[in-house]
Amino acid sequence: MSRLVGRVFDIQRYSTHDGPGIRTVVFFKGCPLRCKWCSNPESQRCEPDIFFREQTCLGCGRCVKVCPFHIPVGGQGADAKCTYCGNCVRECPAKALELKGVTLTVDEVIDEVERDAAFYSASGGGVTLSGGEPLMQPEFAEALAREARDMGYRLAIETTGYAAWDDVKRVFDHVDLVLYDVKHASPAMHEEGTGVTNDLIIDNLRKSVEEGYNIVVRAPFIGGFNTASENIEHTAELLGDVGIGRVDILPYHTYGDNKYKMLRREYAFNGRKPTEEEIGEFRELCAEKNIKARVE
Amino acid sequence: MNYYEYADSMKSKHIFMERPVVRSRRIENLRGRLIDAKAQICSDRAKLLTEAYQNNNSDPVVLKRAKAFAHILDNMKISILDGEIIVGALGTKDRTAPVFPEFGSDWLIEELDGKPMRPEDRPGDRYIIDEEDEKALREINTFWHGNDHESRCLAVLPEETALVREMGVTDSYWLMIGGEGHLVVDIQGVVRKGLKDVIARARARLDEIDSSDPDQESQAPFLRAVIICNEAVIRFAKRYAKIASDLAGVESDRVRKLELEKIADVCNNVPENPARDFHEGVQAMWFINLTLQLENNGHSISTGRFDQTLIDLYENDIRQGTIRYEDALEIVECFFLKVFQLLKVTCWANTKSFAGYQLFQNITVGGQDHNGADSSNELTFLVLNAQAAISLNTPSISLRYHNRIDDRVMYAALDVVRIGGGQPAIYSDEVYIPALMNRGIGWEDAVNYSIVGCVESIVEGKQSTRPNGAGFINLAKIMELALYNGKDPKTGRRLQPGNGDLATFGSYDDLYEAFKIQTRYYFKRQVINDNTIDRMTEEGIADPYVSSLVNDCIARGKTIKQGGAIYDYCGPLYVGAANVGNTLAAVRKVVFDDKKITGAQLLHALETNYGDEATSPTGPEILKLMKDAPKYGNDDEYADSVMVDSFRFMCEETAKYHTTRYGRGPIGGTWQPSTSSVSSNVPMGEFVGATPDGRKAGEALADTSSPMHGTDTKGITASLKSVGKLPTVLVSGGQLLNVKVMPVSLEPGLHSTKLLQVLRTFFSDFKGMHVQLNCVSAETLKAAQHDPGSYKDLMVRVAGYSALFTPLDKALQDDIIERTQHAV
Repeated sequence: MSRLVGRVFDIQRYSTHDGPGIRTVVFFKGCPLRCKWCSNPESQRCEPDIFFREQTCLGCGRCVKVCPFHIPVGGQGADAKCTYCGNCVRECPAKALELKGVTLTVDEVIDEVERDAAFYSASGGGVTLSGGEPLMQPEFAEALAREARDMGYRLAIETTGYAAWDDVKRVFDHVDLVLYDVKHASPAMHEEGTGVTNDLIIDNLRKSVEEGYNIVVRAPFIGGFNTASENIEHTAELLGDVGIGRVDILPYHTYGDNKYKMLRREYAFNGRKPTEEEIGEFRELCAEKNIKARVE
Repeated sequence: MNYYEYADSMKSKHIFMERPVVRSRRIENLRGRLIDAKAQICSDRAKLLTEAYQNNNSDPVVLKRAKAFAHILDNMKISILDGEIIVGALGTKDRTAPVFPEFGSDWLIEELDGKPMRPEDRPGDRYIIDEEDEKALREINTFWHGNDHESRCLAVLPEETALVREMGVTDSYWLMIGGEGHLVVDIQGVVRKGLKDVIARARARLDEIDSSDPDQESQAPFLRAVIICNEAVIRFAKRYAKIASDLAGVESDRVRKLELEKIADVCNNVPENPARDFHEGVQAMWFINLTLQLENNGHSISTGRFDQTLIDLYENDIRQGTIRYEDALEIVECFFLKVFQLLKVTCWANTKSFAGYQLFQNITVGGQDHNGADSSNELTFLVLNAQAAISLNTPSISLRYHNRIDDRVMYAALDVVRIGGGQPAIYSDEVYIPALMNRGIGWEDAVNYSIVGCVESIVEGKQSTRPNGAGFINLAKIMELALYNGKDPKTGRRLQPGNGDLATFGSYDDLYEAFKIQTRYYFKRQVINDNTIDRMTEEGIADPYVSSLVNDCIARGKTIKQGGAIYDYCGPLYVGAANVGNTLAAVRKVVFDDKKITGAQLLHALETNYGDEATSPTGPEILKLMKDAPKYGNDDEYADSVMVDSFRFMCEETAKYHTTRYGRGPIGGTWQPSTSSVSSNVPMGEFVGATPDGRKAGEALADTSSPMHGTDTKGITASLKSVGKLPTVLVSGGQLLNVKVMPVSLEPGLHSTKLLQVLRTFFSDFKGMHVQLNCVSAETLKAAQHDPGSYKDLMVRVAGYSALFTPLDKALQDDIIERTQHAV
């Protein structure tokens, strides 16, 4: 029993992309990085966000009436006065508004996770902590992982690795698989793309391998950002040096575009999909170092 | 010797079992020709039948029917298409629709007069007709007017059954104008022993009966009819042999000449004698299916466990080296195209409920043997391979799943699903077999079940059901009547008073009781209606040929309808089950638990179709409340428990009733439920006003046992779990679940593995009974609506069967697009 609470923006059942088998993914809200290409912009801030679907909106104005500040239609969540009380979301008859980010207890999350238990066992699946960055809420992440593992579920975590080592360790100790992002080999370029340098991330990666955690590196492949030969070489070298055995390549996509619109934010990033050659080059270098690389 | 050159292959972009799907030139040509062919009404059968009726008017019905059947088979115009290997069709047009005036004649004349529209002007399922055919059909109508099955049924049906139909509670008009169907005859017997065995058994029985015993004496006309029918079928096959041999005589192409000589040889041998090779086995199967189509107006006459019936012949041919896998594949593909050719025209009102030029021909594969071992074999793959290549809406391929089935079969099936059209549908032995055993069928026969129609189970060659299965029952309408104290808000008619209306119910229990009162009343009306029609079929139609191929009709000297079959079950098709569960849950939550509005306020909102802005809360606000209430399909205990209980109640209510064969020979003789709504959820929705589940007046109802479209928002695992809570073991008539999947989730490798894991969990842990996966994106469907010409062969799963998408009525197209898209 745990009443410890955490911030979550989604719990997705039947996820097939975040670890083996059929999984339930718990998306933690809040991230220390600000990747320019982020496809889940609602995951970044610790505060709630409100999605506004302009095409669904009937323009009835009910949201304005119930808002303590009478924020006009389309301003929900984006207006500085908004406190995310959620009145407008509950009122909207067209479901054009959606609150992203709620506070849940460990037990509440576990209740949801339990629902698909039968699907995990047949498929070798389980629970994945994702985000945002789960390590930003280390106590909650640890408690959740412990509890879920006690119930016999296999745990995975998707992480940027950007956290104090103690926090990394306390959570990784309770998971079976770590999906660890490596976005760029150069500290400066990493900072340029994500807002932070990669020193801490690489450092934690090394320590994690030394600790013997089961690590799979996830490498987002973003044309024009990290696909130059130089970085591909450095990344492969780095992974070989650290002692990584498997890397998943995640080619850049723009499925998140619409989420920026719903948050009424600009999507300023101008990336492109990686070419077959770029991916091929990286896979070859990985193969040389005995790292299994595959495209997710 | 291999007749079938597999050169000139046509590769498609599709992949089946890691290889590109290939069509031979022959198949490509035939397939293209048949897709382009217009459905055409033909008067040939109707004219010959009428002549025979007029000439044999004093015969007992069963003999008159046999003579008419023989007259049709001996004289109807027949032909062989270029390149065909399997031969036989309902006429000489590429897609001929024969007419069955003895069942109902006036509707066609009315439609030809433009009421409600001419067959070629329909919004979907159009038929063209020649002037000459039209003239002939108009002429013979003078004989049939007031003298057909429909007229005789209407004469004896209680007045209220017509009222019930008018209110849209039941729809079984088509039972009156449809003949014996929904069964699998003893095809294995025909393939192994030939029709000569049937004739011999009938003769032996005829010699045996003691005519001084009135009971036995009355069997004689039936047994004589059996002989007449089966001899006629043998002659019919030989007519094809003659055509083939004539064509061979003038054929200049060496290979085709050999083929035609082989066809002649095959048709001279089967179905009279046991099949000697795989080709003969398939041709025998086809002749039986085809001739059954000509006897009466039934549909869903299926071929049973194809891979079990023909495996011995196939393996023997392979061993002897007389056939290759590719040759057998081409034979099966030709067979599929023959099935695709079949058409029967029915009136527009019925067509809406059975949209998509469908005769529901099922081919069952997979399953278990009588030891419970996996019985999938090389032919299982071959049938799936043929479907991958043919990729048309009919036949329907039904795969029997069980917990020990080879994964390779499942992956092959998912390959076919990915190609499109919802084929094959997957049925779980883990529920079907116990469901059949619960009705009294022993293991040996239960394990040998196959699928007919949409999802109905049948024991091959041993079971009868009802002409065209059974009637629809509109559960949402029954629910609506319960809310209005039994009064139909549309017609103002009250046949069964209730215990109050929504404004006066004091508790949820009152509401539930109101539903039960109306359910008991209307279920009983349907039983009266359908059983009366069955009795009229027994007396006026008799069906000697189909009866001769179902055991033990010959030994008992009885037709199916007299109780000749070993097993007998039939029952209603439930429509809108989820609307009932969702309505009960929504009213319980909003009115009784949360007390957000009163029953009176809700009733007013329903009466005004959620449109009254003057009330407080307003109509649209109440609509939102009702929409937000818990819904079945989200793994939500509140909604699911109500749904499950109401569903169980209805299943038990249905199973209380008997068929007309009860106590007359068959094991069973009882009613059983099925959730196969076919496409009737659209027309039946037109009868139902606004409902408390947040559905506005006239909108389509929930199909089958699936959650109401658009209300299952928690993804596929939640949806499957909800459906898995239903007491499916009671649904021995067959359960149906539509699931949409995105093409990506069927890609070989990781994605299909995960989908298969979900299906296995659904079937084994949650007692799932059936799944049909529809793999077409909504975008594709919308594109096809706008540009039908480019999507002529786009197939979708409707409900228990597939249909070509573009010829469907737009309302049904829209409904299919709306059904929840699970991005699996």
